[in-house]
Amino acid sequence: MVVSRAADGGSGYQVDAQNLQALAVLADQIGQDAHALAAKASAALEGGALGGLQIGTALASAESGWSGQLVRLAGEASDIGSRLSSNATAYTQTESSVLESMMLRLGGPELAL
Amino acid sequence: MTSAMTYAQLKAAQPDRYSQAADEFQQVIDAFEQDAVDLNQKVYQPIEYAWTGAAATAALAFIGASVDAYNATLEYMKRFVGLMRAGAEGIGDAQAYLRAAETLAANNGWTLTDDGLPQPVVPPTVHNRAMVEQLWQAMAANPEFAEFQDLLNRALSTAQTVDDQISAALKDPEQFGQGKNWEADAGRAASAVSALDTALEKAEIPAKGTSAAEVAAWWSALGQNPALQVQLIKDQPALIGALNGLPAMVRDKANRIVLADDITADNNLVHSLSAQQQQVEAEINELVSTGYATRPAGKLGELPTAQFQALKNQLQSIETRLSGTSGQLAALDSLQSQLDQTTVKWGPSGAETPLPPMYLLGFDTNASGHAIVACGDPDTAKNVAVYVPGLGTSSNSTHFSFDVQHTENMTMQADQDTGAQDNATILWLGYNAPQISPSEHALDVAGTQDATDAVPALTSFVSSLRTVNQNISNLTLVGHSYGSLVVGETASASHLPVNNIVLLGSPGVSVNKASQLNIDPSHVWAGAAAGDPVAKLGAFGVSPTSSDFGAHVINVNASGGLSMGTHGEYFDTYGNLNHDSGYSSLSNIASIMTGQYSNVTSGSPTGDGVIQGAEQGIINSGF
Repeated sequence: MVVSRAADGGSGYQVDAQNLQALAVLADQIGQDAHALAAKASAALEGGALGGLQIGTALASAESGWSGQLVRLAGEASDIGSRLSSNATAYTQTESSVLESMMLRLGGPELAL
Repeated sequence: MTSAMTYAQLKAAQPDRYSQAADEFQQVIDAFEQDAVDLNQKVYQPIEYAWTGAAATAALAFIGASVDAYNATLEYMKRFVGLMRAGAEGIGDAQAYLRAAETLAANNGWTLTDDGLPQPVVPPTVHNRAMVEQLWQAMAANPEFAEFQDLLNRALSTAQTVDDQISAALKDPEQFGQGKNWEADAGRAASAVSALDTALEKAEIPAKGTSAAEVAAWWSALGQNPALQVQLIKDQPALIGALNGLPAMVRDKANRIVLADDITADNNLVHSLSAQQQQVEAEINELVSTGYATRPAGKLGELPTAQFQALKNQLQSIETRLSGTSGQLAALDSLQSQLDQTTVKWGPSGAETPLPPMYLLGFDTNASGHAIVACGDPDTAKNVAVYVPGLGTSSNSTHFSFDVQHTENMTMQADQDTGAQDNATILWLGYNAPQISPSEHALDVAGTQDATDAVPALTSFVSSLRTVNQNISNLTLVGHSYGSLVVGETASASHLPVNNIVLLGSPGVSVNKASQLNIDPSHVWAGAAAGDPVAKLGAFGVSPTSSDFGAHVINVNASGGLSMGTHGEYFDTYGNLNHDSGYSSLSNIASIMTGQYSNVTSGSPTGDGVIQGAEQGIINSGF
């Protein structure tokens, strides 16, 4: 269902809340996928560390950097999913309570994320 | 400060570990790249459609920054894995030097200490210090000893350099982002994209008519930025695909994009028109069922109402468009299938046979469609033939598949005859072939204008082939039916860089002598089936198979007596209406295109070639 209304200040918005909810699930799934990759990156670089020489040492020291970065980005995607879900839920409130709900949850539409 | 590389260290190093780690890290990259694509295409982009307003703007900014961070990380990961592979290869090279040194030492009977120092083998019988000293001196004086030392030094210095540089680069936060400010990097990635856009704007695509040599030089210069080349193919496939002078592979990639886009567009249009058709039919049925389809008209009885008539007209218009679009779609699907084929049923037995690679060198659906299709790689082939088809040829028609088959037959026959896969045949429908079915009167209608208009494009295309492939031994121009007129007009207008001209089923080629085609007349070949009605017309000049014309008449072994079947069988391998089981026409074409002239079998000239009254008048009138 597409909801369309005039909001504060005369600016309007339009949203397909159901679609937004589906996108939230997708974003969260991407986050989970990326999170799983962090462990695989670590395992790959650990294997390289066994090759001897300074290259191996460098690979070992890079391990935490890459896995940390992937975990961080995974968190971002999951966070996006969570925020989208929260917004979608707010938009699917009854017609009369939408604006109130939005203000309570998000502190105004512009602060939704 | 790095410690010096030792023999023992290098010998014990396991560069395969780095390769294996790189392979595994690459798998992580591939999966993460999919995440980055999904975040952009499946989350960010749909939100642009699903949500508007202030909150949506804030969300898009947030998610957009995250997409940038994903892409920036991806770039770092790719560079990182590239370094891992470089390290593996470098240490591998160093170990190869080391193994060569060890082999040299072993061949001379020297042993190596753990430090890599060689020493002569001292026989148990030698107890004299002076004799041992002599063995050392002999080893040092051996010419291969210096070579051994050189190999050992190379091994250690190579390993040292690789290890120092690669390990430093792997740890360099400025290069590979470890501990970096990722948001700043995302900004830089965006700048890089912007720089690519700017470069794209500056990379002016050569205008139509630019020489093949200039196009080739332009593309080669762009090769310093391969990303730019890839982007250009994606952004401007129609323009890139049409440029003579570009490698066949590049044109093929571009034109396949155009073809795929047209198939998608046709599919969408068919769906839309089908829906419209159903709607109008429903409205018509509604009128009929409610009695509003007709109105009383006095003595005339019942007449259709204006509304009913309007709907009928609309339905007819929709059905006409639907029929045309569906027909074109079927043709494009067919072409796509032929381009994707890797085997075909071929030869008298119809056995499944490997098909040489197919290239789409030109394509559009304008007018009755244009397509340039190669069977075999024209950029590397030793023998290349360009085949110009005739009346009624349209790449917007499923019948075009037969022209593609002709093309495949020529290359495969040449491959079979030479025993080498260095032949290519190009079907050139780069002109507006008259859209008339071959018949006795068709040529009266067709005229010569389409052939004349084709001259610049065919000249440019044929000339460009040797620019891209300078190793072509034999370049042959083949014209069939009206295509032979195109070939005749083009060849007589300038000196084409071709070795042979072959004219088949020709109604005349606008000149009356082979010598007017600007190549050695002994390399002009002509063939006509005895029952080919088009070849008998002589509508556009002396028949090339007449003795007056002065071409080699080749045997096409078509017995005649049948109608149009004899006009379309010059490129068949088997099963044609003339029971031409020896398919001598195709064999002769292949022998000519591969320069095996002694294998060509001769046919009989047809008539005296004199153009008689009415026919001469037709030629002079220019249609």
